[in-house]
Amino acid sequence: MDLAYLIKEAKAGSSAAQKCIFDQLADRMMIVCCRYVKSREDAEELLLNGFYKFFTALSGFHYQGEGALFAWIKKIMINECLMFLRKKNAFKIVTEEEAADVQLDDEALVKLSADEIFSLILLLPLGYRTVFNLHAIEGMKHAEIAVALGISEGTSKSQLSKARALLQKLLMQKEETYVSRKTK
Amino acid sequence: MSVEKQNDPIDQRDLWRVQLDQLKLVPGQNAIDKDQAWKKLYDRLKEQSHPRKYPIYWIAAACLCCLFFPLGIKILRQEDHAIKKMGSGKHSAAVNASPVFEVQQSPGHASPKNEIIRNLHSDQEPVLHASHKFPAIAIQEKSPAEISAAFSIILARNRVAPRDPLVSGIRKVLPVIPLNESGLLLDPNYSSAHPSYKLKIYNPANLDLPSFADEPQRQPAVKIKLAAQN
Repeated sequence: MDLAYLIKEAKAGSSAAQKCIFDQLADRMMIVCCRYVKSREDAEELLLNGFYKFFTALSGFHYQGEGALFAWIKKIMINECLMFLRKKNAFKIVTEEEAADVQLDDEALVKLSADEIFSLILLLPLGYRTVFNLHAIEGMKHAEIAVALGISEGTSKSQLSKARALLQKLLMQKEETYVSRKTK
Repeated sequence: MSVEKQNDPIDQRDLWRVQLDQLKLVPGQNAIDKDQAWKKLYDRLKEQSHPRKYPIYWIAAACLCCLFFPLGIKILRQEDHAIKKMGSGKHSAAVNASPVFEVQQSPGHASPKNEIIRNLHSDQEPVLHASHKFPAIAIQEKSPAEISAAFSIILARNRVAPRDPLVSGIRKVLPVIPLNESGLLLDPNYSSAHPSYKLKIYNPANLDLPSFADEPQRQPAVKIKLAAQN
């Protein structure tokens, strides 16, 4: 069903329209939550919190296309995840020395499927993962990340560099296993 | 920003994002039970759309407004009426004898801080400046000599006329200090900037004040307010 129509109906208070929107977006938003929070139960709870905020704030939203809607709801979900992690004191990251910046191998990345990229991100420790998600995927600047997570800009940069280094290592391991399998 | 862009080119970021947006489900996990999740969400939304507490507060606030608004208007009207009464007394004095005057402790005989204000004719309080407000105390009896030594009368301006029979009667007993229309003392020497006490005289006959022939049931001396006690 057309999202614009569903949004209009949902604004008018139609729970059927709200359910349709939920059904259409829930899976994608669940992926977003799972990128930040490893526990499935927590991710589901955050998904519901995010949708609750979305529907309660919907009256002030002007529909300008599917992309804008998706970006808005995604932002709500990310904020929910960050709030959750902050509450859990997950960002007690001690300021570390800035690690040498590592460039990820684009060619290796292209070879990877979406599932593999997702799995790789999940392998990162919480601090690395969060900063990597915010910077490399959501496109936030270090200053913005520092404010969002309550850490210094230097820590954000350091976490990102370390995340990249670890990902590079994981990619190389993956490639090696792929090559060894092929030669066998 | 330029450094950041060099380190993390937009292409790379887009590559990750595009790849991840292709995902339909969380890898290695089952899809969420949407019906059950919706049920939970719907319950929360339903609860939010019927808040229980707030209408009670609004109703209580409305009741308070209904209660106090007429009361406030009534008080304002009473004040207006009293001011008008003082202002128009000049004209009505000869026709209707309803004097409003006050008694003040005489600064000549005692401390100028001391002040008595009395409404002789009615229970209605004279219009007073804010600094004239004071707590009340009662005395059983005072002789005319005591009162005339300690107190003076503050009269509304319209009652200062020497020919006014009531005023001339009181003048014999107590010195007179006029008030202006706003209830302020006309003579700046009689400072009203000090706290005061209210006295009640139970034996007004002692004062030898004139009685009101047209309203014999009303006692002339009713209240005396004392500014401060030595």
